[in-house]
Amino acid sequence: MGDMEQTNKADFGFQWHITDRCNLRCTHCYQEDYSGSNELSLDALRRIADEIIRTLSKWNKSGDIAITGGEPLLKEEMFPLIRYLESADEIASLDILSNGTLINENIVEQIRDLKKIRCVQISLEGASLESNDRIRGKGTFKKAMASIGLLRKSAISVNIMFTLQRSNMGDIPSLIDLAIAEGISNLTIERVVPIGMGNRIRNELLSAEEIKDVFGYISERAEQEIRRGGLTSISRSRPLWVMCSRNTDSLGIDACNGDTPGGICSIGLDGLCILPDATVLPCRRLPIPIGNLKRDSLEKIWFTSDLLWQIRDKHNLKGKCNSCELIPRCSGCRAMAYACTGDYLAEDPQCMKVV
Amino acid sequence: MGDKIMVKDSKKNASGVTEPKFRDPNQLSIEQLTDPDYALKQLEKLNEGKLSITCSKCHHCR
Repeated sequence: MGDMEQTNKADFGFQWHITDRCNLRCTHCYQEDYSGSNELSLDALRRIADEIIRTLSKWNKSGDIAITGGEPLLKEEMFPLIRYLESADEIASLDILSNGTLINENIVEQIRDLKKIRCVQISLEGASLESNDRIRGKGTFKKAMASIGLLRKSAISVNIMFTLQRSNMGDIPSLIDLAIAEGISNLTIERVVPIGMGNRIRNELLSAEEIKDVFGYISERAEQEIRRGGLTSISRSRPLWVMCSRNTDSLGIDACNGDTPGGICSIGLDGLCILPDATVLPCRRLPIPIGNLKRDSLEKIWFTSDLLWQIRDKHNLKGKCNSCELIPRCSGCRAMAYACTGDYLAEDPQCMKVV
Repeated sequence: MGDKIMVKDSKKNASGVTEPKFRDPNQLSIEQLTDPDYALKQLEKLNEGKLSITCSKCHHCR
């Protein structure tokens, strides 16, 4: 499994949502449509794969592709698509992002036979049946934990994704304990962005002060785990995290190692999101179309999208984000700014920096 | 970066969804139109040559 904390500058990431169908209805989901009405055939998916591979080759880059949904295991074309992608030299690695409720021994066997799978990501919203199932639905905790067990038994790297909300923030200490005990490769704890179904739970957003406290605690645990030489990394290469380390030595923005918290939003820098109907978004959490691969080339989108150029120019950022010295390790979450203010150039509303 | 650049008018499709806006290629430099790392390089200049660390692709964006 590759290092989840740092990205190589020569890499380009795609988060590819191949279906919007899902067997769950999590309360914070970024989707609202689960119909699957605009999904692509395997032939059409392969044409998009060809466009990705052709562009990566021209750019002399390698690609990291995360296959997700909806629930990607509901799409029968998932394994044929992955096998097609991993046959290309330009594709360095693939991840599968799943809700963990449909994984059985047969699925694990198919994943184990793939050559470029870096990890399987399973979502948990709590460290107990009660807290997780309240958000993800009845029975999901047991199924997800069983899937994690099956994957680990086959030595497949597992990443846990936890979406931080007011009602599950108390679970974080026990979630970190659980991740370490289960031999999880990487644990990511990130903020809920209120879009899609999640637009109905705005009361779940934490204040800037609360974020500071929670991220500070997580950073402390992450640094403890590093010092202990543990196997579980806790991802902190995200906007806002640079301000939340209790180890002031690691705040230097010159540093470039996996132990240093903070990472600039990657919109317009080295990644894109593709939806089931080939619509391209700057990020899954910023639901503004910037093209569609059925009619627009990747180069047209990457080189001429107005939105991407606006966000790339950090002089355009407003409020506290404007001229902030921490931009190289932060720049705020543009999706959070858009979800909360309607302006993706606004300051990150959960920024705890005092100016 | 930072220059005023002409943008094609936004359009709405039959479903009322705003369609993507693309800049006129004639208003962009050759580097902007051909170098996929142009923005990363500009960011390094902004940061006085220091390397920027992009987010970890933790896939939270799903």
